[in-house]
Amino acid sequence: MREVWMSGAAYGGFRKRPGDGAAELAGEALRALVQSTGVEPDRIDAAYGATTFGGSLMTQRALQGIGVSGPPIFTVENACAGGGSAVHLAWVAVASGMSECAVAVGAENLSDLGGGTLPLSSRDVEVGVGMVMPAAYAMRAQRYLTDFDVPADVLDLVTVKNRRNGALNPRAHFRQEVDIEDVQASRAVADPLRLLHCCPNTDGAAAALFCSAEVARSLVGPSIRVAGSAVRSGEFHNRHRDMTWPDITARTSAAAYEMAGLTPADIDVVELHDAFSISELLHTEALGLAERGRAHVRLREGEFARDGALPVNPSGGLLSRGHPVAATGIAQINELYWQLTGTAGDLQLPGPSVGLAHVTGGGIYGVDNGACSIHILCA
Amino acid sequence: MSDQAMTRRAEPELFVVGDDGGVHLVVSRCARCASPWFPARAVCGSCGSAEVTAERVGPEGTVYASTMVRIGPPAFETPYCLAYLDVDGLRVLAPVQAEGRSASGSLAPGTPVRLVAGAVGDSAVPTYVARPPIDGGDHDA
Ligand SMILES: [Zn+2]
Repeated sequence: MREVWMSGAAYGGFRKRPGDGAAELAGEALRALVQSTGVEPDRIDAAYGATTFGGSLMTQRALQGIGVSGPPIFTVENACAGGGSAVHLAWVAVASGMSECAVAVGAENLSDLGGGTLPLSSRDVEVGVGMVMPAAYAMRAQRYLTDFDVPADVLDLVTVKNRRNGALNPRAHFRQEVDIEDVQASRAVADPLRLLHCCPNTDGAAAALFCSAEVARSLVGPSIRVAGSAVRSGEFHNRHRDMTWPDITARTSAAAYEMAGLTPADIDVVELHDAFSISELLHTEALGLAERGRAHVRLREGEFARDGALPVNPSGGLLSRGHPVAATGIAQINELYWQLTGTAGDLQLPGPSVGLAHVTGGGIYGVDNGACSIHILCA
Repeated sequence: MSDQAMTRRAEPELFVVGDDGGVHLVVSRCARCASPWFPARAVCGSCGSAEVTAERVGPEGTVYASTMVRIGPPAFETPYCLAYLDVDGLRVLAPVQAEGRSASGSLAPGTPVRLVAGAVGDSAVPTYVARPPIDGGDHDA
């Protein structure tokens, strides 16, 4: 396996864009990517697109928008982890030597599905008795608060932190700060979760370029190294499951750390999957970035704030940016690209050199999540 | 009804109601790795073995975690209570109902419940529900 470089990042949408299909949003992100990197479209020799609701051959339709047709093009579906999975496949293609210059793009239009909670598979035994994603995370929250004797306002504090970060992010769907009272006054969704503990449904796309060292050197923009890239699926069983410990995140991160030759102590900045405020606490612990049952204490002490010891979701996370399902994983990696190349504008942290992006999801019974993807990026 | 009779049905039966009114979930257990499966599976999802035997678990269970769903899918009248239960080594999600109505609050982890027959959503097909020890719920910690 050879080294793989990330040489560009772009987005499209990340707000309500009813009527603009996933392929149109993806095309918008791809055009911005071509413009910012200066890559000639005919150098793109592989493309991996991700979408859950965007339909057949979304990636071919999107790449037609930048004049690329002919090379191998794939559309992958891995629920919320689709974007991270597409990046992983682009990484595999370049690392193996099969590709010199691969694009990953994720896109989703959720407005066109109508409002409310996202549809889960209707043939699932849990969906049949009324399961929705917020309910699954509400139960994880109840157990976390109970098992570690945590005051419930810690859930509000995650939202307040991430919305404060998002207020600085021009790409965020929500750019207004909220305080604890706002969170507690928002509509109850599934006890103890309220509306402001849940990420918004958003339409959007994100695209990124992955290259060999030789191609990276020829492009106008800065590049960072992909030090670790891992995808794992959820272990299926109907036995007891400790729902405060997302095992899939622990297993995927162990693989990514090992590949990168790094440990959690080496990470300077994190973008992780805060689809619900409780998720940030659970995943911070499962990533090894906080001791078991202690993430809530470190959050309260400000350690995960932008100016804390380990900024977590300095972009505002899913809670601010929104969650166009398969675009999210690439959006997170892009936020790290801008941080690690010193081009994050108002969001810029003081000189981070190692970033970790984590995306996980997929609500099917019998697993933590359907899939998880983790990338470790180095300046 | 014997377990033998159930395995011949085209549609796998989810549960049987005992003489005491309690619901016994029909589970398959892997002969190779002992994993329990609900709904029953012809092939073990953990090790791939087709050597599975029918078993029944319940009706007594314990709440692992619970929530009141206040925004739900169109077919379900909100609010309604759901709980993950531990039933003889099996983790299963069930609606929490007493006297045909949803519990009015989340149940605290550790709450003992009993599986009985009930109905959920807009479906007329009877299903399994968890009955809390005291009518109504509101036992959240
Ligand atoms: Zn087995």
